[in-house]
Amino acid sequence: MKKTAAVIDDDDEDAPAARSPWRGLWVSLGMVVVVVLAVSLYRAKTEAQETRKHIATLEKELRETRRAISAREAEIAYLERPERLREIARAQLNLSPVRTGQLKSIDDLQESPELKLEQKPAAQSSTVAGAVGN
Amino acid sequence: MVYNPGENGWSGARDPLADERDRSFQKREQVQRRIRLMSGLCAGAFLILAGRASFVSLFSDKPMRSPVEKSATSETHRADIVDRNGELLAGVVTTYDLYANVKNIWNPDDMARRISDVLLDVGEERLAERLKRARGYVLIRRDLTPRQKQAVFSLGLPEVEFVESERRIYPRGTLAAHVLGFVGLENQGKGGIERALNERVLALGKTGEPLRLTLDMRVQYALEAELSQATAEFQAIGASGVVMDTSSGEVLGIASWPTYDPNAPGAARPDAMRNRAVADVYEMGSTFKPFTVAMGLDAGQFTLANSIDTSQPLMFGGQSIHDVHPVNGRQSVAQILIHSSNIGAAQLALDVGDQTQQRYLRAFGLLDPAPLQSGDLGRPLLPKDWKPVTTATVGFGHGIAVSPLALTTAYAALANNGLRIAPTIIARTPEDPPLTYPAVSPETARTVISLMREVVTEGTGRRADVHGYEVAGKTGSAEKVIGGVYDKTKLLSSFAAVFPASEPRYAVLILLDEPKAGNKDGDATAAITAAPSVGRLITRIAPILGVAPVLDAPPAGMAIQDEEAKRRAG
Repeated sequence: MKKTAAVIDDDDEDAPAARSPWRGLWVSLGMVVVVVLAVSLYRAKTEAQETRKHIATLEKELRETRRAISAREAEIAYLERPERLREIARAQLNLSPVRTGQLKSIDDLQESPELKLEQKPAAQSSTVAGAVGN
Repeated sequence: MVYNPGENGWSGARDPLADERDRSFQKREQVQRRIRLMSGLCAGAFLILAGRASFVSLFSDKPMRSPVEKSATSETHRADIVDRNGELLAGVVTTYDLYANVKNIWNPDDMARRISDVLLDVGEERLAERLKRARGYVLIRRDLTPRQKQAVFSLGLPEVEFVESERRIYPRGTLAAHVLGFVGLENQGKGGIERALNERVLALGKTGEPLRLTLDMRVQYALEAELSQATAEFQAIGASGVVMDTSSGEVLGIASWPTYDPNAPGAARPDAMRNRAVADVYEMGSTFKPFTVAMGLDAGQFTLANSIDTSQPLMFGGQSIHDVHPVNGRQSVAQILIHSSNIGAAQLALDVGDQTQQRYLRAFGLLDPAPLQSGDLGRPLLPKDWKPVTTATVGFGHGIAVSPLALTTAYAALANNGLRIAPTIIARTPEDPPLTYPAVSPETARTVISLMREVVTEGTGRRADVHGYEVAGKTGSAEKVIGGVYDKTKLLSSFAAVFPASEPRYAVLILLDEPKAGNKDGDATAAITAAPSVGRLITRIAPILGVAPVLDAPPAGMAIQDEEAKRRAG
């Protein structure tokens, strides 16, 4: 048995001796490179997936914010209905539509007493201002 | 491994020990083979699993799809519609449909009570009844606002569920309803711009850009308010109005009365949904007379110095053309327009001739439908045979029916130095210049505008002569055709104007359908009904449009307007 075993052992030792001494090193190196690449790819893909999730969350937020803005804009438009503003302007501010006589051109303004004040002495100007105020 | 039984002389007689060794060796080999097989199978299975796992994690590129993304892709979002200043006319809001999962309901009565406490328009008893009888899911209420949704959510009912939906809203209610149209249940446009530009509204919705109209919300409101006031005052059965920028053809306001709320189109009368300003055609009457004068002057058939005897009615076989307020003797071309003489206009039209008349009417765009992007364009009704009597009646606006928009466009052409511009309701871009058609020469156009100014200062349009805005216009009071004959009691009163006359920028038309008597004389003509409405409208919109008033002398119509104001106040 022993002898047989020895023969068998000899056979086993002969086989590696025939291979290149660097082969094992190359194989190990290759394995390491493959593992490193695989891990990197896996990490990259995981990160991409995370980013995708993040984008989806941001897009959802964006959509919700847009919806909120649309709702606010609609509310503003509803509150700014001309008929409503007209009522409020009348009731609260005592305003009514502009009459043609209320409009003046810039030239008309330059002839108004207020602007002439600047050219007159201070004592007189207060009188004029008082008259305008009345 | 090699075993040679012949070594050391064992090859002779069989040794029993050797047999035993042999069997033991074979058995061992068998076990080893099985172990190798099992290891191989296990390794193979692991390899397959590892390979698949690596493939899935490294090479599979299928993106993760969240429910949010799914809902985003299934959205069909309609673009906002805004006016020329970006004011929202139609928008989209997210609403929530409220459902109850009947399987999870513990106490239908309690649930119905709590929901009806929050949603006041949901009847408690009816809902409880429905919840008890139904299976699966029950729709409790559509279109909850975010606030209502939160209120229901706060009740903490495990059996309720919300389904998001998008809803088209028109926050300004009836404003510009006919132009905008409305949207049906399938998110498809059902009228106005929503239908005519359905694809464009959906395409813009994807980009987030709004659809910008040429309407000015403030002008539109003023126009609608005047139509509403005039119809109420004169009990008209309908009305329409247009305000147009004469240099660009842009429609700033276009309205039809009666109106409807596009938020609830189901509640509207079918009659109220028609855009009378675009879809309907009418025999306009005397508002056609300026075109008759324009074509005669432009073609050189007569000059302002010509005069015509209008004392006798014009006879065509059994038909006669006469004046409402006859003037004895001869009238100049200007007087014919100022006094709105049918006999004079008919005679001028006959001088022009049918061929020239048709050529000019086509140039003014009155023989074709006036184009507008909101669709439903009314085709003009034209005479079948253009006999001399036709030429004469068309000369004062009878025997031919056009849409209010077409008439306004033709007036805008007179205001725009004789150049007609196709009307538009969508803001034009530099790459999309307007189509233009020369109708008459700039000189002719200016002459006719000055004659129309006289109509307002001295003639039938005095009630439209508002202080400062130099209104130039023409009244039109046409008898409606009822059962094939003209009915003297049913009028179509209109006033078409441009302002300011010295440098026209805007054209305005108001048309009242069957107004009732506007004064104690039983007069429902345009001079009494439509002209004052146009005057008031111009006073309201001119400051908005930045038209500076010319305040030299008070206008001729001021006294009448003051009287009217007193009468109203009284």
